[in-house]
Amino acid sequence: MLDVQNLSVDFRVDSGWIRSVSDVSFALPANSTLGIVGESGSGKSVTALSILRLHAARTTRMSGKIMFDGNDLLAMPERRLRDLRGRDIAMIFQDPMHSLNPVLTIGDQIGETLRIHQGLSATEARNRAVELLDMVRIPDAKSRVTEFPHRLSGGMRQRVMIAMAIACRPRLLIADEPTTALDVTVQAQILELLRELRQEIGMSVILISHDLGLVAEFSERVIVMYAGELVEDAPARTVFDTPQHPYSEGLLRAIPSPDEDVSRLYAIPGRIPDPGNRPPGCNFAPRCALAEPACHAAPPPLEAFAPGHFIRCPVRMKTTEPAE
Amino acid sequence: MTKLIAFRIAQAIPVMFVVAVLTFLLMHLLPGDPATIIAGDAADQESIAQIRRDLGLDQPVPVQLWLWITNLAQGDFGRSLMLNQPVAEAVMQRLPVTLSLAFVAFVITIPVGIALGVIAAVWRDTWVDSAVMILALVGVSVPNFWIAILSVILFSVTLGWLPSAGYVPLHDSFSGWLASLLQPAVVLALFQIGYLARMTRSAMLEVLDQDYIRTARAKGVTPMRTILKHAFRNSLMQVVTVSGYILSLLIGGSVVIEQIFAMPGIGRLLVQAIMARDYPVVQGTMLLLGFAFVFINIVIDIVYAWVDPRVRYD
Repeated sequence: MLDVQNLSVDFRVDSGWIRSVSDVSFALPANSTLGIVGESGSGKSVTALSILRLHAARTTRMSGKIMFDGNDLLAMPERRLRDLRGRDIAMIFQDPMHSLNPVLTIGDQIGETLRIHQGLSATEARNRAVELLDMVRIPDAKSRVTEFPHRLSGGMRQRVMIAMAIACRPRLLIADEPTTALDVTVQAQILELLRELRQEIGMSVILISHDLGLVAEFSERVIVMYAGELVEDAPARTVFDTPQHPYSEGLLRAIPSPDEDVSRLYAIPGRIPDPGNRPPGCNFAPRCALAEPACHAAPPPLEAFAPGHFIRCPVRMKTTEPAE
Repeated sequence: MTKLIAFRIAQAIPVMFVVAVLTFLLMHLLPGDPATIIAGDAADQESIAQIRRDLGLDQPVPVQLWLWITNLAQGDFGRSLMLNQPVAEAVMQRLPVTLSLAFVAFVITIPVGIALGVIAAVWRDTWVDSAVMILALVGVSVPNFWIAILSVILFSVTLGWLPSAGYVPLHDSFSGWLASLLQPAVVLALFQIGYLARMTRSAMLEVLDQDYIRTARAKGVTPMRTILKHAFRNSLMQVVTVSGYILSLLIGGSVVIEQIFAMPGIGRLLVQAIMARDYPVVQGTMLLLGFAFVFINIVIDIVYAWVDPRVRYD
């Protein structure tokens, strides 16, 4: 259904253009789940925003193709893309505190999607908004529909965002760090809600997070991004149990385990390279324990490690046999 | 809401008192003696002293202040020294002129200033933005008395489209009223338009960067609707603040414009009264202007609560 091919994204800065996302490809069948993992600055959100072309057009350059139902979203006129936004592809964002308009009631904001795409009247949209608030388990939806966002907690606001996103029963929902700004207990509830709604509506979900554990639990397939590149692409279980790219391993090791008695939390040494100042070879080489001289010389390609499992690491390609 | 209004009015009372005292003291700090001016060049010391006694100016300043304040509290603004009529009457005769001028200028400023600001923000960093901002810069930089003179030369002297001076009351003729106000009001508005356009633009740019604008785009909202419904309403807080300030400036700015266009408003009255050391008139007029500013600020606070649901003061 969604097929991203060689997506690159550049942003304009004072000194020219800087590559933020470089040659990313992945595909997502209908009614499936994909997780995108990476730390801040890895390009995961930039990739997500590119699908709906939500970057500021004047300072962004995108190349490659994003095929959705056989149409290239990157080549589509803005007007046609607008019809898809919110109707076929919907999106929820990281920060529910700032993603809702403070001067409009939540009913207005949910109803707006329906009024735009389904031509509902104000009353119909209001009634649908109440149903949607019920669907995302907001208690007392009938009276809440006229509330302004500042009267709701973070978790409730994210539920409102979700209600808004699923209003038109989209086929693809992009959730960009939907739980990062929330309490841990609320995180679990929001993910559970997304899981249930996915079943109910039958939509595909792209879940973006820096939390590999969370993503692996939620999605069928996971891609790991580092410094604007895709470094590993595999079924979720594989990435979680036997990751091959040293960066994915590092991410996994960075998750504290309750079983082990650790005095220090693990952190990958070093920092993600600045987009304007990336190393000539493998982006991860400067931080990588396995790096060989060749890794610093030329950027490595993405190669099939096993069927359905791709990694961008020549060292692992030649030293490790895939598990049976 | 009623509580808010009551609270703000209660707050305004001490402010008004301070304004009254400061106005009084400021006037008495000015050199010059109204009695000498009234008596004329040929007067002898005896008659000047007599006039001074009649006007109560021989009393110590604190006593004069006390008399003035107690009279004020009873609604008595005193008598004008130069006009030989009560201050309240003199001010009321001229108030419609100033209010008409400020009103027409405000009605021109608000839509034009806001529209220019929004347009500049939407087309930021393009030639449209640059053009609007240069225009705004010219508006705030060029002194309005100079524009007034050029405008009179062009529209009144050369083209003869508009009167160069004077004021036609509204109840005499609407078209005459408007014609007499159009030129001074536009000149008065130019500065404010530039100021409002710049403030609106920066408020809009701030809002357009917010996450909820991205949310609106992700929903498929059209750019026009995004700007008018989602962005503009959020920048209204700042626009309202500036608009209130502008209304105050328009009332204050009419002092110069009324001089140039010879309009019998309170700005002109104030200048004449200062020249003649007519204490009661200056004090009364200043007090009225102070009252207008306080009142405008109360109205702005009420509008805030109406514009932004987060402001409820309760």
